[in-house]
Amino acid sequence: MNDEVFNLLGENGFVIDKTGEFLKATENVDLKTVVEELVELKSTLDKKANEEVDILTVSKDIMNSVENIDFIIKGDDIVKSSSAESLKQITETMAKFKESFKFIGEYIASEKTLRQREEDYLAAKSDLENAIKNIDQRTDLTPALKTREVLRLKNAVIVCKNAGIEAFDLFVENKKHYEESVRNVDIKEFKEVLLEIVLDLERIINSLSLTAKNKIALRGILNQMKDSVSNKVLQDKFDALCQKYSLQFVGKEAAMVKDEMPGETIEENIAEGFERDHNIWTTPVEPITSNPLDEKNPEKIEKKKNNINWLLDELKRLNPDNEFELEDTKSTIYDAKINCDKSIKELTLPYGYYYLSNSITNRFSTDADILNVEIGTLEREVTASVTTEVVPEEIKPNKLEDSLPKPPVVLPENDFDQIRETPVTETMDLSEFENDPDYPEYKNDLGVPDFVINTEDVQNTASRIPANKKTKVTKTRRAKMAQGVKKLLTASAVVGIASGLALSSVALATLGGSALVIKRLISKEYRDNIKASGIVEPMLEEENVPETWQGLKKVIPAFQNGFKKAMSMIKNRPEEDLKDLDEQVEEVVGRGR
Amino acid sequence: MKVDTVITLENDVNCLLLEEATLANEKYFLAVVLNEDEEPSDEYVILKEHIENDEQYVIRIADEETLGKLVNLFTIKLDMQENNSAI
Repeated sequence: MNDEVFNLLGENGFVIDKTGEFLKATENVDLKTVVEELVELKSTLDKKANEEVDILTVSKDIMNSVENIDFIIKGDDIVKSSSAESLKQITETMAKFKESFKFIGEYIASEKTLRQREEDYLAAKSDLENAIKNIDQRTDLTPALKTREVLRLKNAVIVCKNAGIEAFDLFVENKKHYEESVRNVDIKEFKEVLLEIVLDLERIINSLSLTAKNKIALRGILNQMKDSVSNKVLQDKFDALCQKYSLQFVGKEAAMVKDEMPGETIEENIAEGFERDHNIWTTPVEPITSNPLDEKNPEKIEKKKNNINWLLDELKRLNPDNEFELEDTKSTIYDAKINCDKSIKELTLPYGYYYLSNSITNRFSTDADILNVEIGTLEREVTASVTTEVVPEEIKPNKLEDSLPKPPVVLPENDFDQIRETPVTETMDLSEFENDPDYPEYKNDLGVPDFVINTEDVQNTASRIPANKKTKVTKTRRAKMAQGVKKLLTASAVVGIASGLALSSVALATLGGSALVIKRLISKEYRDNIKASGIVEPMLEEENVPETWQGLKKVIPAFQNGFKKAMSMIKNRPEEDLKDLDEQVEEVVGRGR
Repeated sequence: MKVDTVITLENDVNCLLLEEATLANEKYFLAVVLNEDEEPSDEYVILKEHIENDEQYVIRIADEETLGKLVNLFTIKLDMQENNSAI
């Protein structure tokens, strides 16, 4: 039995960390299942570490996330009450990101523009084709008007096509610059620099005053960013599981010890019986001497001591607002113990170091001079004192960051704001095409789809679209719907999908505060539109709307019902003038510039 | 493919594309499946755009981790639109 369990752990590279905790945690647990889960996580981590990921993919992910973070922070109601130092640091960290992506920003921006213009050209071409099919049958147009209309449509296509060509030329030029710039960039180093900035950003965001909702949303985004550059989320999950069962991964070679335990085993003693003649009360107390092996390697000891002192100095430098204290330790697992007045997860670590459950180590990033240092808690004495004005210290550039090779810089023409994706501000109000027979019918007279309202729980049925399989798109047509309807359907869709997820910790970690966002949206729509039309539905009052996905799923039918009734009470809808097509085309093309 | 369009698939299923998001350089759409009367059903899906030999395809996403990330992104977009319309 012992050999079986030992082999299970050892073959997979695990050893027991704290005996008492291990025994307690594994009392009624199938150790095989635990080890299998750990092995799977480790294997995913190792696979991801060796994955070929190109800089463009990583950069786009990070840039999208940074845009979202910037937007959330700037829109937060209470962020301005944060300390001036924190606000300064957030600005500087955002600038650091901008600096890191200078060489790629223009390329990504031009790629987005090109894509938008391609879509606009295809849409204009499709409109022209549809119009041509029917224009000769239209009886509402005079010959002169028909001529004008055809020429206008034709011109619209040419305008879009030329805009597309212009965007393509700019894209090709920027792509060339980008390829020259990344030729000598090491993706591993690039990701490591990014990870450092992301951890920095996380530390600073934790120090900002933000609403609870935004804090949760930001945490979700930061986890995604860490996942993009370093598999941090997975690593944290692996570490948490190791800590839960008090196991430590040391690799198969270290875990499969061939030596026997020195001295007699307890089983042997019990089997043979033994006489206790060791009596500390009657014999002189002998001092415990130090390990003779260490005395034979004074150079090694000195080198390790220097490394530990270096680590302590680096921690102090990278975390200037915190206190650190080196503590003597006789631990056989850790090389040293450093007490700190901050949580280990909030520390900025030196290059190459990662935090585990209660220690920091560089063993995953180097084979030489590995250190494993326990991080303890330093209690600060709370004394009443008069706070004096402290001039904030200028943030010095990270020496280590400067020593790493940076990607070549492309002269910045655009402000970071210009690189951000065009915010979705325009409303997709196509109601001016209500009476246009050229567009395929999609809505009923009320402008509201007739929902199939289910008041019972929706049963899980197989989807009509096969999962994970390519299905061909045979036709595409424009949809007409009011903005409110779209918002309703989008919220229903988010709830529908989220409530169907099994609550595994990885999926849950990424959902963040999304359920709260949807709750807020439903409550607001009910208050501003449904209740305002005289329709009362108690389960949609803010205090009654649930904050869980399963709960939200139950209120969606009432939300849809209420919305439909409110819409049907709107009798006189304002008429909109049909805009000149040229203006529309110019508007669309102008959006892409 | 773009939002506010209805796509018809080779098995004659129609989907209304509600929202778009990008993850790891891939385009995803939040969509609702339409019934025979071309009205929204209770079936909601996330579709990944796939272009091959100039033909358009979609792949319905079932992996929970990816779905979780995309739900988060779509919610952020919805929130951003809500905040923009409030300004």
